[in-house]
Amino acid sequence: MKVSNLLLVSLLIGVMVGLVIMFTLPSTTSYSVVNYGDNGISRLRESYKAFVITDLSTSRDISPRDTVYLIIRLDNVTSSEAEIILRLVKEGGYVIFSGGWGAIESLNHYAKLNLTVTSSVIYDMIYNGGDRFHPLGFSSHCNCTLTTYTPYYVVTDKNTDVVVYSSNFSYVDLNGNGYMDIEEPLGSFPLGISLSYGGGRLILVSSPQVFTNKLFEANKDFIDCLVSDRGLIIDQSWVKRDFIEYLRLVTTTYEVTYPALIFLVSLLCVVAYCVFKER
Amino acid sequence: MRIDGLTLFLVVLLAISTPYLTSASEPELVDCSNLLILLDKSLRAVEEGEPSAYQMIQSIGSASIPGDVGNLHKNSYDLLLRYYNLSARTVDEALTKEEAHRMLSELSELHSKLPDVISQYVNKLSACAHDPGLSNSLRTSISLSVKKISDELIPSLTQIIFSKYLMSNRLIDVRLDKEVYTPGEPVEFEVTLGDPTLTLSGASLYTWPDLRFIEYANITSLGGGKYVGFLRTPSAEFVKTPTRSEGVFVLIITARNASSSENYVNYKILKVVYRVPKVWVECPASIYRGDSIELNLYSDNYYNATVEFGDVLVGYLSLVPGLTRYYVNTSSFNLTVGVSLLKVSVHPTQDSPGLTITKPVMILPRIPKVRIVFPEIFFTGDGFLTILLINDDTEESQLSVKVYAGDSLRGEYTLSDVLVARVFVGFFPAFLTNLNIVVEPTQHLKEPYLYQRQVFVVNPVTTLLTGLASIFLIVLVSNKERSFMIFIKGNVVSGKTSVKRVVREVSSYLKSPYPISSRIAELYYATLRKLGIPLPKVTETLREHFSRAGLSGFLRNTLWKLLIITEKDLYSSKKQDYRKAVELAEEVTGHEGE
Repeated sequence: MKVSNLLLVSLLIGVMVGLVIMFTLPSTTSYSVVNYGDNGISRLRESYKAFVITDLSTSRDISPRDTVYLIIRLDNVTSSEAEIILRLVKEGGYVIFSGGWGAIESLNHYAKLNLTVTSSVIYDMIYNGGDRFHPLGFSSHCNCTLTTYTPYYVVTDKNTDVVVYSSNFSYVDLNGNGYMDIEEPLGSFPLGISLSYGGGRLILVSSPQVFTNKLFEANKDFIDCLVSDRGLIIDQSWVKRDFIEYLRLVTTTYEVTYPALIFLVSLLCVVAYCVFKER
Repeated sequence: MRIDGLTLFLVVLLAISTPYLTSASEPELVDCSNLLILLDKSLRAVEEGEPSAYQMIQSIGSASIPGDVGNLHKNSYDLLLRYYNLSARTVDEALTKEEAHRMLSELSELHSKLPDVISQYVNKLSACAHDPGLSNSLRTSISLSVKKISDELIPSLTQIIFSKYLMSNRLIDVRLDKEVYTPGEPVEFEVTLGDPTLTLSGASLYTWPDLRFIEYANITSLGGGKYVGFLRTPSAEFVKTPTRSEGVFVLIITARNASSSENYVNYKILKVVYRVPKVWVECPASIYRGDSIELNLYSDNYYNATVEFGDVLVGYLSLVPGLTRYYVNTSSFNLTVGVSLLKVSVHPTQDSPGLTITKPVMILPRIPKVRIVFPEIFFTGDGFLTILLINDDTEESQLSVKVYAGDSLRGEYTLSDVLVARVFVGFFPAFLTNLNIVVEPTQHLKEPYLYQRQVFVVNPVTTLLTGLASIFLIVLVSNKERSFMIFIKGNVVSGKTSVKRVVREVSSYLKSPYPISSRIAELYYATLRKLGIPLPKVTETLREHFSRAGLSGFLRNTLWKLLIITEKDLYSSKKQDYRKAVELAEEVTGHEGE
C-alpha cells in the first residue's frame, strides 16, 4: 500500500506540475481573448474593454439594446444557441457572428436565415491586404475597408443588406482547387451581411480572422463603426472544452497572478499527499 | 549485394517520401490563371474602347503582385494605360502641333514595346498557370488582341493624329454639318480637295477604336474639287458597350493622285448619342436542382431578349415596359450542384445598344424529405438500436435506406411512410459510434440524403455483467498483486533470490485469514504456515501465540526477531525494513528445511 500511495501522489504532483507548465505557456488557441499572438483576439478585448462570457445564456442579464455581441465559432452552433442569438437580436442587440463555413451554415439552418452559404472561398489578386488570400472589402455603411482572410461565398438575394463587398476583381473558387478557372465567377461578392430582426441586427462576417490581433489595426475602423457607443461582449463559450484555455481565461478574468496560482497548486499537492499518507 | 542494398534503400526512401510527394500542396501566392484572365478582359476592353477600361487597367496595374511577375505586370498595364490615354485624347481633345508630335512619338514607342512586354508577361504567367489548357486558350486570345492593337489600332491612331493635326488641311478638307447626331440621322459633309490632280476615291464610316467597317458614303461631285457626301448614322447594334450613351465613329476620306498613284487620307470623328436600355432582372439566389426559376424583368421599353442558363439557350422573350414574368424550367437540364449563371441578353434596337445581364444562381442538391428520429444516447439490452424514419416526400413513395454504424453496413430497409429500423451494433457495454443513414431517392434529379450523427450506446446488461466479472477478477488476482509487490521489494531491489522461486513460494503461503495492514505481518503469517505452526487465534497476541508454540534453538531466536519487527510494523508509526523481514523469514524457512 505504501508504494501505491507513493505512485499516486507522484502522479498527482506530476499532473499538477504539468498543468502549471501548460498554463504558464502562452495561449495559441485561435480566437481566444487570452491569446496575444496573431490569431488571438486579445487586442479587441483590451481596446474595447470588452466583457467576456463563457455561457451565451448568461447574456440575458445584460441589456441587448446597449450591447454588441461578438460570437466567433469554428464549429457548429446548436439550435438552442441559435435561439439565444435570434432572441438577442430581436431584443435590440447587435450580434456580429463570424466563423467557419459549418458555423455560419448551422446558424443559417437553425435560425432560418434563408441564405445559401457555400464552402467556396473568395480570392482577390488586385485589391487585397497583402496577398490574394486576404481579399479587401469595402463597406459603404461604414465608409471603410475590411481586410478578410479566405472568406466564404454567401449567396444573397436582392433583399439582403450587404454591408461589405469585395472588389470587382475578386473571384469565387467554386471547385476548391485554389486557383481561378474560366467558369468561375469574377466580380464583387458579399463579405458581410446585415439582417434585421425586431430592433436589432445580425451581422454575418464570412471570415472570422477579421477580428484577430493580426488584422485588428487594419479593421479597427470597421469594428469601431459596428460597436459605436455600445458595450462589447465577446462570447468564448467554446473555450470550456479546452480546460487549460478555460483556466487561463478564468485567471485573467479574476486577476489571479502566477505566484498565487503556483502557491495554490503546491498547497493542493501537500493536502493530497497528507490525505494519502493518512490512509 | 551492394546494389541490392542500394535498391532496398531507394525503395524504402520512396515509400517514406510518397505521402509527402503526393500530398496536396498549398495554393501559390500568385494565381497566374487569374492574372491571365484579367489581362484578356483588359485587352478586350481597351480594344473595344469600353469606358470602364480606364478604371479597370488602372486598378489592375496598380496592384502589387509578388515575385518575378510583379514588374512585368506593372509594365504591361502601364503601356495599356498609355495607349488608352492617347486614344481618348485623340477623340476628345484639340491638340497643338507639339502635342501631336509628342503623341506620335509615344505611339511609335508603344508600337515597338507593347507586343514584346505583353508577350514576356504572358509567357511568365503561362509557365505558372495551374491549367495548361486554359493558359493556351488565353494566350491565343491575348495575342490576337495585342496584334489588333499593335497592327491596326496604333497605326490608325497615328494616321488620324497625323492627318488631323500635322497634315495640311488644304489637300483634303472635310466639313461636317454638326458634331453630335442621333441614331439613323442623315449626315451631310463637304469635301474640298486642295490640289486639282487629286480625285476623291472614297468616304467610309468605321467603328472606333476597333475600326469595323459600317458603310460607304454616297459622294456627289460638285466640280472644282468640291464634293458632297451623304450617309446615315449607324443603328445601335454597332455599339458594344451599353453603359455608354455615346457611340464614337470615324469617317475616313481618301483621295488619290492619278499621276503619282499616291493616296491621301483624312479622318473625322463623328459622335452619335444612343439611348441606354434600362432593364433589371430579379431571380432567386438559389434553387433546388430541377426547380423552375421565376424571372421578374423590369424594362423601360419594348425589347427582344434571349435567356441562357448554364450556357444553354432557354428561350426568347419580348419585354414590355414595366414587369415581364418568365419561368425557366430547369428539370430537363443536367445541372450540377454549385453556381450556374443565368444570362439575359437584351437585343439592340435602332436607338439602344444591346445589354447582357448575368446573375449567379446557386443550385442546391435536391434530397428526399425524410425525418430521422433517434436519441443521442441509446440504452439497449439486446444490442439493437431503434431508429424512426418518416417519409415526408410526396414525390417519393418508396425509398431505399441503408444504415451504417461506423463504416460497416448494418442494415438495408425500404421506407414507404414510416419505418422503424432496428440496427444491431454489438454488445459492448458502452461506446461511441457514428450512425450514417443513407436515403436513396428514385428520381434522377435527386441526390441521396446523408444523415450522420455520433451517438453514445449504453448496454446496461453487459455493463452489469462486465462490472461483476471485473470484481470477480480483482478478487481473483488481488493476491497476485501482493506477490508482485513482495517480489519487487524483496528481490528485485536486493537481487538475492530468483524471481520464479519467490513468487511461487509467497503466493503459495500467503493465505491470510484476516485482513492485515502490514506486509511484514503477512510475511510472518506466511512463515508460520510454512513451518506448519497453527496461526494465532483472534483472541491472543503474537507473543502469547509464540510462547504457546514451544519452539527452541535457532528457530525460536530467529522467529522471535521476526515477531519483534512484525509488532513494530503493525503498531509503530515508523514502518520497518521489509527486506530485513524477508531475510529473517528465509533464514527460518531455510533452517527448517535443513
